[in-house]
Amino acid sequence: MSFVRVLSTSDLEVGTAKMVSVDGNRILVVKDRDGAVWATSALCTHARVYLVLPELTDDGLIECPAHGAMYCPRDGSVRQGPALTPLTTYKTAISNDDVLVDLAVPVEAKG
Amino acid sequence: MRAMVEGTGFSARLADGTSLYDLVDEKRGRISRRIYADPEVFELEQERLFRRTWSFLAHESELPEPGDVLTRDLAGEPVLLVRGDDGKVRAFLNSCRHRGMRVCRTDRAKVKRFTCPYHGWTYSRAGALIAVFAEDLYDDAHLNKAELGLVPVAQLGSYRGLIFGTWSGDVPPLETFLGNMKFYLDLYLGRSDAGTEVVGVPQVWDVDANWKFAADNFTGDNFHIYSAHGSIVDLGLLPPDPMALSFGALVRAEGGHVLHFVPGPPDPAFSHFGVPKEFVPHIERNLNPAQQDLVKRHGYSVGTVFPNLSFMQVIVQGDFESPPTPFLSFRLWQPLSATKTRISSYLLIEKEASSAYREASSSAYVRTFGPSGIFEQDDMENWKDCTRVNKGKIAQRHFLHHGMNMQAPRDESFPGPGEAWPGSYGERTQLAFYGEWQRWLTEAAPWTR
Repeated sequence: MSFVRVLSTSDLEVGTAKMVSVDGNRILVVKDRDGAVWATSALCTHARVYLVLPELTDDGLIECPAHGAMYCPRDGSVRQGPALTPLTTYKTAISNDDVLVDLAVPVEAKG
Repeated sequence: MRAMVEGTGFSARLADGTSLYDLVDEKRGRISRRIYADPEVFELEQERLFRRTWSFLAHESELPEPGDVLTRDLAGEPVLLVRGDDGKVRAFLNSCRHRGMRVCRTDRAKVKRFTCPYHGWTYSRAGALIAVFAEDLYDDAHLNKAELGLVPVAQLGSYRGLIFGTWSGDVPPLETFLGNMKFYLDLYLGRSDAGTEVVGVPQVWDVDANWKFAADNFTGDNFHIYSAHGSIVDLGLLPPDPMALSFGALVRAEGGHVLHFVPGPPDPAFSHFGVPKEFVPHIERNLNPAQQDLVKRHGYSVGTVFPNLSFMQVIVQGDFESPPTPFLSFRLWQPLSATKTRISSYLLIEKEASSAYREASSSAYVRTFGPSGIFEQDDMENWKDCTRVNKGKIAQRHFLHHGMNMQAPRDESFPGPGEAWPGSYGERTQLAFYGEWQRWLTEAAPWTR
């Protein structure tokens, strides 16, 4: 367990995503519509493009700007192609106002 | 004669020494055939006219919603127009900053973003580069996305629904460029409360002719009708008297913009270009008295917005059964080479038009103009033949004559701006167009009046 602080909870609005850099790795931090915070890898597994769109879709999914692949922020699973491989997900925690992410242990994707 | 045009990098001569000032003799009405067929003149036109001037790109009604996209050409280079999330239309060179691929390859689309088909570089609706393939493999020194957005068209402007663009940052704003031609454009585009919209999509086709024959014809050439369109007279769809369409006025607005007005059919009930009577109160609300007078008294008005956007407000019988019906068409003549032109023809109608009027106007248009139209086919045959013959080196030794009715005094009582001459048979408007063309080929700032 090695949680690191990546953001303040107030940096992230409900229904949005933000790309952050941790030790040179970019990860995507998402606050879903219920206010829960999730972290995934930030590169689309289809065409190696950063998932830079700040807004989640109406269905609460992460959308790739290039070819429209969609992922579930909770488990990284692909919900719409062209991507085939899920995003890697990471454990998150909230401490006071800080969003913490543990990059050491990727959570196994549920595909 | 100077070898260079002062204040420019422009040569004042063609490669064989011919002075550009000898290509058009506006005062004597003499035009060199080379301007219609010479590849060197085409290249000069692209450089000095089309890469500088304002050119028509689209009608606002073609992209009503955020994310609506059109692809068009501007001076022979591909551009895309997109309505942004803020409702504003923007125009960009349709070319990825990575390898140059077009980022939109359809005539029209609805997009969230533009993704280049080649390597996937992705741009927002506002033209910003937002995603790069394998961006994790670049360092900051080698990728600054902020400076790699789509290349914007230098200036974009809109007047009464017509969107124009220019690659020049020096040319004055669109409304200055249009000058007093705006007074006349209002008669067609600004007469109804809601303005106009495009019916369907533009018809686009290529013809083996120089674009200037089309622009010249639409400066107000009524004197070709009884020969070029003689078969339509024979059918009884035009009046048999060859002077029937000789009345009205030729008008020279500013900046090479020209047009004519011709009275409508001799029917006491006819007025206001023949548009349905429910539009008369609109005309009275939206136009000033001088503009209303011109609309009320005329049936036909054809003109050219310099250099290559023409329009026709006419009333025609598309077939024997239908009554004479008005339509409004705008058409763009884009040079593809010295001897090939892409025509884009738009049918416009008042946004408030009833479905019956819309259908009748559309039928009248397609039966007479557009690639299937009986008038347009006659015109293209003439423009093609003129172009083919004027390529000839023997033919090019002999100028073409444009001098009809040059002695006519100006009509000082004409209610509109610019200069007007009585009658619609005359070559003042053609010569104004060619004179302006020559200014753009020889002057550093031809827009200075």
